[in-house]
Amino acid sequence: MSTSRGSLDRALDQARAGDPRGFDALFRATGAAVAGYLRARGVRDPEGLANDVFVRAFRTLDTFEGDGERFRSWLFTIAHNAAIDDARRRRRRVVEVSFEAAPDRAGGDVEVDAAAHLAHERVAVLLSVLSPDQREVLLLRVVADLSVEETAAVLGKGYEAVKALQRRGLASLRRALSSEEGVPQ
Amino acid sequence: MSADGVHGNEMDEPHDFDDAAADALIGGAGADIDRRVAETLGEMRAAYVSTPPAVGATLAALIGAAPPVAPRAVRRSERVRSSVLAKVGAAAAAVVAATGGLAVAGALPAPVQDAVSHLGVGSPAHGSGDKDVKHGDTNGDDRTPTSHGKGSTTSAAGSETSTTTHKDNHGGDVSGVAHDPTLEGCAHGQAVAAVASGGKSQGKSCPTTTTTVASGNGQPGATTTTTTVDHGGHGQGNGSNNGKGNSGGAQSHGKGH
Repeated sequence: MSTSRGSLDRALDQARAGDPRGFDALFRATGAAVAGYLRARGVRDPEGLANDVFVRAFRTLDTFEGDGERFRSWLFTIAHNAAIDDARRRRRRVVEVSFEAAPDRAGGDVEVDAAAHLAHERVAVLLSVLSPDQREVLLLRVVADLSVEETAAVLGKGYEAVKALQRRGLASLRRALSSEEGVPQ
Repeated sequence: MSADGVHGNEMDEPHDFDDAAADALIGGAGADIDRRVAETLGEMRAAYVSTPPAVGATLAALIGAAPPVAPRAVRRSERVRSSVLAKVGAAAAAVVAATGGLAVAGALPAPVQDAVSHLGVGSPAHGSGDKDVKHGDTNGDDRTPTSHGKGSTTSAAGSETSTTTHKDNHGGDVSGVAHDPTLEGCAHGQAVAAVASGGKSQGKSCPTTTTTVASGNGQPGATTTTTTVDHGGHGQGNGSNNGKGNSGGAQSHGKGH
């Protein structure tokens, strides 16, 4: 996100040379965005799947050609495909989570957790009014912080198509917000 | 869906934002364009990107990071044990340091002083007679070159028993003469004094003893013995040398008999 392109290029060079510090720098630079994107996509285990994405990316790094900017597109392509696979798996089977297996969130601030949960729910409701492509474009542009070109590469769409999708997605969002004003929050 | 992936009904929706406005809003700088949309996009970032993922074991092996491990709680018994050991160690170090200092100063009781002198710390207690002489012999055999103040020591048999050589061998020399069985009496004392004083002792000649045996009062067996002793030359040299030999014994021998 805030990582400069030069530092991402250096980290990529280190990782290609097999230096663990390069892998670590790449993970630190993009890990939160990848996990956030998967979380926004509603995958079952965002952190676990984010780990899988990075393991897959680092193990096949020798097949990747390009600079740090291209690496981000490549990484989110892996994450995008992982989210699609996760959605397919979830459609095929119903996952039962026992009460004991529920994640332990003890120690958190109840008010903060509640506020975050409400904000998360509100964002999810707003995103639900968008078409899947509009939602995907906005998530990659806003949450993953990809450029229009990178987003187009991940989704396999043209540059202008992505531009059009983000314009319409923002317009739909504004309409949803306007209609939300009449509903108590 | 078209070739560009655009849904059929998307073309019918109004285009409220141009490309520049959309880029500004997505870049986080579009509050003046539409405050609510800008805030919602900010909430979207905060809701999803705020927490980085935890590193699993497989990924940790790749990036060289240790997987998170809960810190081991230190038991109270371990803390108490460590504290006690530290205190005992400090006390032992203090005792050793104090004993060493007193030993060097020669301020310890005689038995303790003798004991620590075996360890090469300080000089043995003075005036302990034959016991000190014995120490001299033994030490001559046992000393390592790192010990101070002990040099070649002549044993009672007059043989050199130590290969350690020091310039400061005064104590050993004195001890050797003190144990020389061929010397007796005044001559013995003078010899010891001469060695102890480094030849500075100017003792007079040994005393002459005149014994007159007389039978008095006609009583058979009654004798009168008169002994005249000249106290010159009793070995007044400084037998208490600074060497680590048995100068104490040498001094006592120097008094003559």
